[in-house]
Order: sequence, then C-alpha cells, then structure tokens
Amino acid sequence: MIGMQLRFERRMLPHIPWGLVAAAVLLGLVGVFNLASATRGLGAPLWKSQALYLAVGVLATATVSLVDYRFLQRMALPIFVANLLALLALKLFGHTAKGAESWFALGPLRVQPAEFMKIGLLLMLAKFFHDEQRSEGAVPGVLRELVLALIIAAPVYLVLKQPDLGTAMMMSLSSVTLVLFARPRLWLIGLLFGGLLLGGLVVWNDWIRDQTEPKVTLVRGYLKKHQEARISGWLDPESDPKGTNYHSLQSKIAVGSGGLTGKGWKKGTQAGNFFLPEQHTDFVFSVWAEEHGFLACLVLLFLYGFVLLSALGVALSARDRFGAFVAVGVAVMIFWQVFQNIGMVTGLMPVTGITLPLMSYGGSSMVSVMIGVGLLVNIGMRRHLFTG
Amino acid sequence: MKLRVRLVGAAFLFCLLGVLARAVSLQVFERDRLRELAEDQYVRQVEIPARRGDIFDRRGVPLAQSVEVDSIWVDPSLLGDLGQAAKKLAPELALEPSELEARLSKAKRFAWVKRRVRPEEAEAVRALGLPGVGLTKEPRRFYPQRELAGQLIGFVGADGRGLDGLELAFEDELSGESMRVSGYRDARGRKLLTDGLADSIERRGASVTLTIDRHLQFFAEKALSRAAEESKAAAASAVVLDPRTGELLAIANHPRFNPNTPEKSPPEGRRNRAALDTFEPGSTFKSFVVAAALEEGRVKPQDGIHCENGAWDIGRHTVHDTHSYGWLSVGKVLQVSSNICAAKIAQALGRDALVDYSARFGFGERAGLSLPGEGKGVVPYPKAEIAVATQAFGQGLTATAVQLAAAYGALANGGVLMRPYLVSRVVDPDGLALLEGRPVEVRRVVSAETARTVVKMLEAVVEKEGTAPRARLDEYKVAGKTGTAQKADLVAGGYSDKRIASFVGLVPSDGPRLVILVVVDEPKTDVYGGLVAAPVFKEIASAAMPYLGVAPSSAAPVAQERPKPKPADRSASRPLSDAFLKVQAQDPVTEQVEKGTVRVPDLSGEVGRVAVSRLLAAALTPRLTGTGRVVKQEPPAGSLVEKGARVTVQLAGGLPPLRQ
Repeated sequence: MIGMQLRFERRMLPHIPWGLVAAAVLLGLVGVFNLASATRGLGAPLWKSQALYLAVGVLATATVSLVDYRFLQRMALPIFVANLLALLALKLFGHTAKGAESWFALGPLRVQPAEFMKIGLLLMLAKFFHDEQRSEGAVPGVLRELVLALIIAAPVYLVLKQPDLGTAMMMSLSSVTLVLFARPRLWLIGLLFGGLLLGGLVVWNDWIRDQTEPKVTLVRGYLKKHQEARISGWLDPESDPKGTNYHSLQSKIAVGSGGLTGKGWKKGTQAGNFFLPEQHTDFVFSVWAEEHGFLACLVLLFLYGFVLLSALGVALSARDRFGAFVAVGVAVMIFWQVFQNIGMVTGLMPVTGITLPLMSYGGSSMVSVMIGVGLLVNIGMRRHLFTG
Repeated sequence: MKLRVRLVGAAFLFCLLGVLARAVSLQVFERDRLRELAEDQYVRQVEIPARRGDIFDRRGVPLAQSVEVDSIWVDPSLLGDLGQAAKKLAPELALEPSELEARLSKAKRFAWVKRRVRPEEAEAVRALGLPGVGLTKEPRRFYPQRELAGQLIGFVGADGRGLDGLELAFEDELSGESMRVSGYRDARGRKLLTDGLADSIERRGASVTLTIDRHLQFFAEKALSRAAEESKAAAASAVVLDPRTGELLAIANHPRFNPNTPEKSPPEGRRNRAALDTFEPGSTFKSFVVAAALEEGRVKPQDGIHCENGAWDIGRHTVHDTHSYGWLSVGKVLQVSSNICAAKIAQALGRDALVDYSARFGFGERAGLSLPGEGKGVVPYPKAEIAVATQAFGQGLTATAVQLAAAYGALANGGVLMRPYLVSRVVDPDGLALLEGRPVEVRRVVSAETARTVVKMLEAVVEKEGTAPRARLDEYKVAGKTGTAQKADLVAGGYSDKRIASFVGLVPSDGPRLVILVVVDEPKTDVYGGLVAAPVFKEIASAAMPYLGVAPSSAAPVAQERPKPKPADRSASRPLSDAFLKVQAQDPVTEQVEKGTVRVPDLSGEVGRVAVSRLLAAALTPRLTGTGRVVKQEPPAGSLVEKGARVTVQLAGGLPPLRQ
C-alpha cells in the first residue's frame, strides 16, 4: 500500500478548476451574507458560525484535493464502512432533535453523519462501477447486482430510520441517477419512466380522481397522515394555508413578493416577521428571493449551473473511469439537492427537508459539499498526471 | 461516456431552467397577488392596550404606576444544549434550572423564560449572550410606595387587570380604551410597530387621584403597625378623615401588604379591613346615643343618671360596668364609659329613635367608597329590652371603621354628616375629569349645639379620670372615645373573650381638623381601647397636627368659635375672598369694553374642564397643556383680546394641598 500521497506538483496547478472553486466559495459567501439577514430575528449570530464552517469547508477542499484520488479509490470501501458504522452508532449515541436522531453531539459541535455518508456512498459507487468494467464476467452478474443493491440500500435504510426522509430520498435519487449514468440500459430507463407513470397513476387515483365511497386507494391508505397531507398540499397548494401547506405557501409568498429586485437586505417582511419556516435552513432560498428579487435568483442559479457544468467538465476530462464517476456523482449529488430545494421553495416540488448546498445553515452539509468540491479539484488537477 | 456526461449536463440545465421559469412566474407574474397575500399577513389592525393610568395621592405623589419592563423569551431550537442554557439562565433569574429546562424542552420555537424581570436581571441575561434569547418590553404595574396603602390600592394580575382594591374598582377607567392601529405583526402573533405609530404612552388610561395623603397614611401605618405588633394583635386598622369635607386622608391596615408582590401575602393580608370589614364598635357608639338623646331632649347635659353600682338586671340579663358608679352626669357617663347609664339613656331615647339616629349617623348603609366588597353593617331593630341596652354600648350591631369615623365626623362637623370619599378626581389623558369627588353633605344629624356639647363631653375622656388619658396631646385639645368590644363567637354563639380595642379621637377638639379612628383586633397584652388604641391615636395625631400646620390649641386661648368651613361650598372656606368678590360685584365703575374684544377670565386654580367651558363661554379658543388644575395662562387674566383668540392654559397635577 502506498502512502497517502499528500503530494503537490507544480504541473497540477494549471489544471485546478479555479472557476469551480471560486463559484463554490462565492456561493458560500453569499450564503453567509444571506444568513445574516435570515437569522436576524433569532437573536443568535448564526452567520458567524456559518462563516467558520465555510472556512473549515475551504480547508477540507484543500486537504481532499491534495490526497491523490486513486488513494481514495483504494480507501473507498473502508470509508464507506466507517460511514455506515457512524450511522449505526447514531442509534446508540445519537442526539435527538426535532424528533430525529441525526446528530452526534461533540461538545458544542453537532455532526450529522448522513451528510458525510453521501460522499462515502458516491465514492463506493464510483469504485463499484470502476471495478465492474475491469472484472466484467469474473463475478456472476446476479451477485454483482445484489452487491450494488446492498451498497445503496444499507445507507438509505439507516438514514430512513433516523428518520430523515429527505436525505434518504436524496441518496437514493443520486444513486439511481449514477446507476443510470453507468449503465444507460433501455430497460432501466424504461423502468424509471414506468415507475414515474405508475406514480402518476397512483397519485391520480388516490388524490385527484373523484371517487365515490368507499374509496379505493393504492398507496394513500398506507401513508402517515402528514406524508399524505404533503402530497395533497403539493397538488392544491392553497387549500389549507394555515396547516399542511403553510410552509409551501409562505415560501411562495416570500419568493413572489420579492418581485424583480427584492425588498432589500434585512428588509424582507416575511423573513423578518418569522412567517417563513426554517428560514435559515430549508427555506433559505426564499429569504434570498424575497430580499433580492428575481435578478439575484438568476445570479444564484447561474452560479449553481456553473458549478454543476464545471463538475461535469472535470468528469469529461477525467483520466480514468473512477474519477469520472466521482465527478459525475458529486455533480448529481449537488444537482438533486439544489433542484429539490429550489423546487420546493417555489412550490414546484412537495416539501421535504432538503437543505440548499452552500447556502443553508449547517456545518456538516457545508463541509460535505466542500469535500465534494475538493474531490472535483483533486480529479481535475490530476487529469494528465501519470504516475505508475 | 462523454456523450452521457453531456446528456447529464443537458438534463441539469433543463431542470434548472424549469426552476428559473418557476421563479419568473412567481416573482414576475404572480408578484402582485403574492405581495397582497404577504401584506394580509403582516399588516394587522393591532389593538394597543392603553397604558394603565396612575394612581396618585392627594398631592400627586404616585402610588401606582405603569412602567415598561423587559420580558425574556427564548427560541429553544437555537439554544443548543438546553440543560447548559438552563443552568446559565436560571441563577440570573432566580429560577430552578431543572424546572426551566423542562419548560424549555416542551416548547418548539418560543417559550417565556421569565416575564417582567428587573432591569438588572435583563442586563445579566443580555450579558450571557445566549443564542435564541430575546427580550421584549411589557408593561408592569409598579407600586413605588411599596406597602403604603397597599390594601387600599389593591393589585393587578399578570395580565395587568385590576384584581383588588382601587385597581379593581377603577379598572375601566385606569385601563382606558385600547386603540386600533395598523401595524406589523409577526408569525408568532407578536405585534411589531414601526414608524413610532403607537407609543402606548400616548394612549393611557385615566389617572386616579385620591384624597389620601401619603404622609398621613405613613404616620398612621407606622403607629398602627407598632402598636399591633406590641400588643400581638391579629390585625388592626386606622382611618384618618377630614370631618369638614369627608375626605379620607389615610386608611391603614395591619398586617401590611406590598402590592408589588401580592402572591407573597395571604388573602386576608390583602384585605382592606378598614373599609370592607364590619365589626361591633362597642363603647365608641355611646356618643351617638348621647347625642341623639340630647337632640331629642330626653336628657340634659347636667342630668344625673344612676349607674346601679356596676350591675343592672334587665329581664334575665345583667349589664355590667367595669367599675361601679352611682349618680353620674351625662358627660361623666361618656368619660368613664358606663354601660349601664348608656343603656338607660338609650331606654330614655326609645327604640325607634335609637334605630333612626343610627341610620342618620350613616350606620347600616354603605359609605359608598366604590370599593368592591365594601361592608354595609347592620343595625337590627332592638325588639328585646336587652337589645336596646347592648346597642347603647355598641354591641349587637356592626359597622365598618370608615362608617364609624364618618359618624364621628358628623359630631366634629357641627352635626352635619359628610359623605366619606376616597377619590378626588379621575382624569382622562385629555384632562377631562371623568369623576370628581366633592364634599357632599349627607344630612344634618343633630344640631350644631348638640354636636358641640357631645364633643365637649368627649374632651373629658382623655382627662386623667377618663378612659383614655393616653390619647391626650400636650399642644392640642383632644376629644375622643374608647371602645372595648367583645368579639362575637361565631362558632359557639354569644361572645368570646376576644376583644376589639378601639379609640376614636377628634383633634383639635375646638374645631376638629381630623377624626382619627384606631381599631385593634384581638390584642393579646392589653385589651382596653384606652390602653391599646389610644396611644396609636396620639402618635398619629401628634405627627399629623404639625404636618397640617394646625396651630396648637393652648396657644389660642379658649378658641372662639372659628368660622366653620362649609366644605360643600368652596368659596365659603375663604371668607376673605368671598367678601372681596362682593366688593367687586358692587363696584359702581363699569368698564367699557371695545366691541369685538373680550377680557380673558381668571382661570387660576380651575380644573381643566371648567377652564375650557369658561373660555368657550367668553368666546375664546381654549388650548390645554398638561393635566390637573390651571397653574398658568397666556394671555394673563384681565387682558383684552380679540374674540376667538387662543388662550393657552397650562395645567398641573394634583389637588391643592389640604386647606389650612
């Protein structure tokens, strides 16, 4: 086993995706600036902590980019297992907040292992797909599929049991996307669309279709009340403004009332008067949209788009299959969160507790995303490096 | 592979464009509708409760005030470790850490930590700098004089509503009308008012000015508490009243009560016994029997009455005196407080007249202080012969201390009963008097001569041979009467060996300025009014007389009947100015006032409302500043101004000091 190869060579320098790093850090800074407004009513200067997390994140980016990713490739399994153990340990030592056991309390710090599991999972998947090509036929196909299913199902199950439905959903979505990317089989795509169609049918049957009693439902009967209500609320957002749809409606009001140019920093009425729920975490985008308007949203979406395309650029030029998969994995992970979060706050998606990468308050999420950026830098700057 | 990456990129862009389209639809096309929804939420017709009005003593010293203080709340979700936070917060606020932690862990986003804290507590919490902890201003009722007149003023509950005493009696006036304004509110329903829209100080409830004098109240409470503690009494009350007007200058109760912390006193400690509770007055009642009998001509002052040497049988009952006496004059009867002779006088007076005069002195009828739960007292018709006898020495009937003091006030005031009152003015923030307490003559009870005769007789009580030599003052003549009533035994029936010792005094007796009644309930050391209550009277009176600037009686040899003020008529109390007015009216020289101009009337000393009506009557435009009575006017009185000219009148609080 070779060492960790904390080696930096001059010739790596021109290949560092500076634009990507700059966009990510800029998003982080915008996030801190936005948090200063979003948390002004809470009496706690959370933006200072967030600035600290961002600094730690940048440090993480630098560190991760220095470790040759091929070393990480070899370490993918131990990292994955360690993350799984951390999730298991949560059951024993976890700190319960908001009804979910998702945190380790380390003194004043709270660490959310699920966030790091995301990285561990995508490294593991990348390694799996990397190995798959090399050893095609060596391992029986069925067994391989089982291993793949286990790799995805184990962390998703543990996170689901915390319970953290949102993160579990993000993990499965990212994983499925990655599987689809690795094996763009027609039957898989067919299955996906079939699933979507079936889901649509179920929703149509259970929620939309006017039925006479007794109602025949397929899924609705098995859902918990709040889960069921969220889908109803998504379908008919203004039906229950004070109850189930409160979050969604409030967020839409905040975003919409911002208009083209916004109400001004710290001048948002919805954020300032606590109408917005979870405005420093899940609904942080609404604060931005309300206070800075559509044009600023455009800038934000442009930055996220730039980060995503840069990540895919790294994948395109990656030296090996593992690197490409990791790069696509990071991109997919960030994409789904951005898309689901902004979709949620604008009423496009049902409400799930997904934070906005780099903008929402939270150290674990910030560091996790910045580790992802570090992986991208790592892969990008080693693309023409050949060391035996 | 490359194609796939590009496809993924295209999918990303497609989805992001979808989100962007959504943002356009919300922020550009639905903007106006959503903005309205937003405003619907945060703009509220907010009801701003008026700031509760203050309660002042007669000189404008605040007895109850409303101040804005900090309340501490917390968003527990931001606190992090609740246990740690509770451990830090609790000691600063004198709370129990475990209890606080339990409370905080129950709440999601908002919990009160402690409401209406002291400034130093708020400062300490601010200094802790815990995340999620906030402070909000809330009004708090504050009683700057602490225990002074505590039971009388009463107290307010956590919501700021009056729960007892004057706070309850004048709840509607003090709380004022709340104002509806448009303001912002937040999702927690807390009202946020920007633009200085609603300074609640602008809207405040009416202020209540009492007839109580802070200093006299203090003298009374101090003397009363000392005596009550020395005699180990269960309770005690004192009433100080101006007999000429009926104004109550002090109403003291023991044990004392601090309305700032009502929860620390038992319910009975909060009770304004002097005004609310009735008791059997005992021998102090004899004066009224004597006055009635004199008025009716049933006895003459110099008549001799035989006191049966200490024991007198009426049917199955025997009436006792503490000492045995033979023949006594009417005055002597009062001086030594003979029960037997008093009973004989009552017999001579007759049942109907006895009941009639009791009623005329104000017994059995609420004094009308407008205090909630004010006692009424009962004077039953004495059917039995023994009932006539016992009523003569004040047993078998009940009265409140205020009633008793007011009835003595009638003797002191030349036979005219004044309605006792407590509230001189209730003034709304605009200076408009909602209620004005004025001296009211209830009725003439006995002739001035009879009243004077009884007061003269009562002077002997504080002589050496009387029952209350301890009430004697060196410099002021005192008339008074002791009372030592047996307390009715509510359980066993009949009377117990518990006593109510009382003394009521008029000072100076040759033109009484004050009636001071002291009632000590269940004294343990001595039980006699002359021993327990009389010294309290002496202590109060000897402090009050110089304070009021009353000339010592001894300095004025045999006071020639001073011009007695007729309190109902203000001008009569100043005969000099009265005469002056007459001269003016008769002044043959009349002034030619230019047409279209008017003379500014003299408004000094008028209350705001009167000043306004007089200015309006003179075709002038009033402009008021301040509240209270006129202290300054511009242009000055007598100057000629055009009709409709503006006259600025400056008002200042409080009543003028006690009339000398």
